[in-house]
Amino acid sequence: MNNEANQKVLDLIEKAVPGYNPEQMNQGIEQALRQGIPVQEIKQALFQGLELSRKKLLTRDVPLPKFLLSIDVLDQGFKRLSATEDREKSGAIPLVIGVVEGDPHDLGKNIVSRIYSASGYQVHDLGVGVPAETFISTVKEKQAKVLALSSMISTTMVQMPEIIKRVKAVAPDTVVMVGGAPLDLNLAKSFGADGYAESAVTLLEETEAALERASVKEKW
Amino acid sequence: MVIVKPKLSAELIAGLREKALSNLGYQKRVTPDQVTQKILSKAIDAVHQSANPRGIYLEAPIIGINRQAIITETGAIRSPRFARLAGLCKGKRSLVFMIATIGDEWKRGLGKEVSVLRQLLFDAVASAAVELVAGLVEKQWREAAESKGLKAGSRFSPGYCDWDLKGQRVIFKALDASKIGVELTRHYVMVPEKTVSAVALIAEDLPAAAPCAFCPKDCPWRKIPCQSST
Repeated sequence: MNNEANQKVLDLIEKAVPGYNPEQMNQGIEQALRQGIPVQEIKQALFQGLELSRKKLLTRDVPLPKFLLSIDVLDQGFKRLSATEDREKSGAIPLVIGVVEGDPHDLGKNIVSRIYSASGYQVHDLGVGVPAETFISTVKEKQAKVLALSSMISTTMVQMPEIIKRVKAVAPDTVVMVGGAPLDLNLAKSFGADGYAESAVTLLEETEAALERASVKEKW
Repeated sequence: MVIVKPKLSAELIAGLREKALSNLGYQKRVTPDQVTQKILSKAIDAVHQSANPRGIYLEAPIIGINRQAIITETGAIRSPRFARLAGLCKGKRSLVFMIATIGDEWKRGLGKEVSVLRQLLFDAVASAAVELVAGLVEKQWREAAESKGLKAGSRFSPGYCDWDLKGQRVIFKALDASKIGVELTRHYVMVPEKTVSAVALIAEDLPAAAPCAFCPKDCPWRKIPCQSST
């Protein structure tokens, strides 16, 4: 098979993700495997497809439900390629996520967790109502590069500065991202966080920026 | 204290789709894809069949008003803007405390293996449903006030505007929420999750429906158009 034919099938896979077309994606993957395209290139096409969808989310051209559908298609593709294990082995960034103690709201955290997972992070989701000790021990155990803390209410959000302080004491290089309805940029900074995402839309850019700042020891 | 069990008619339920889509950020006249539509229909059916709409309310006297708060028998409503509005009301003034819920039963429709999309859509429908129930409970006390020739203001809830979430305590002290299966946790979270609590002013004459009248901020929860934007 020539490069042109390979590119054609990879384009088909890429477009199937934002187009929410699992049949097209499955056909594309089968065809790609028959043509001997390396799994890594197929995964790259899936990621590029998700990126197309995410850019449309950024510009509000697609609503969140449609973006989540794209993630579903990507996941189906990865399942077909049995790629989860590969991703873990290939140095995906370990990330711990959870909602602070006393807060039962899991939807926002679940969406964020899903986006991180689909974007290649190795996600350890601790769920809701997570005590500070659990965040600290899991960050240590998983050697997390990122800790994502969520709180949807002001009365539970106040635990964040203490959690961040304690995490930083045992894992100073872990980047702490915070998010949730009562937070804003200034609060996030005053809590000692390394990054803040206002919504799922800017999540990846903000996380990457925080990781970049941490890598060059730049202050936020 | 009045306990209400509002009925969610098929007509009212039909309006949930549009409200849920609006909550999800869909523009009017934009049709979601088939998968989203299908899950949304299932969510509406589940909420219709298993929601347990209940409400409780009480009209209580205002003991005093100062610059910072409205004083009631069960505590102070610490919102300077709401206190200012109450201070400008004419004639006999009172407050309504209310709580409305749809219960937790609707979550059974979610199933065990839940995709985030399914959670998101069910949550949007349940949020629209509890607002609907709160509106039906409000209708009852509003009509009761109006039948006495009084005017009723808009619902005002802890956690909004300048009223701290800890204000939930005053409402839960005034009402026996356990009668409708609602409780307040030590972090001031209402359980079941899809519950609305609020107070409202009742008076012979109200200068404005909501304390938004004294706020220059054009926030998404405004109940009165922002003067600077009109």
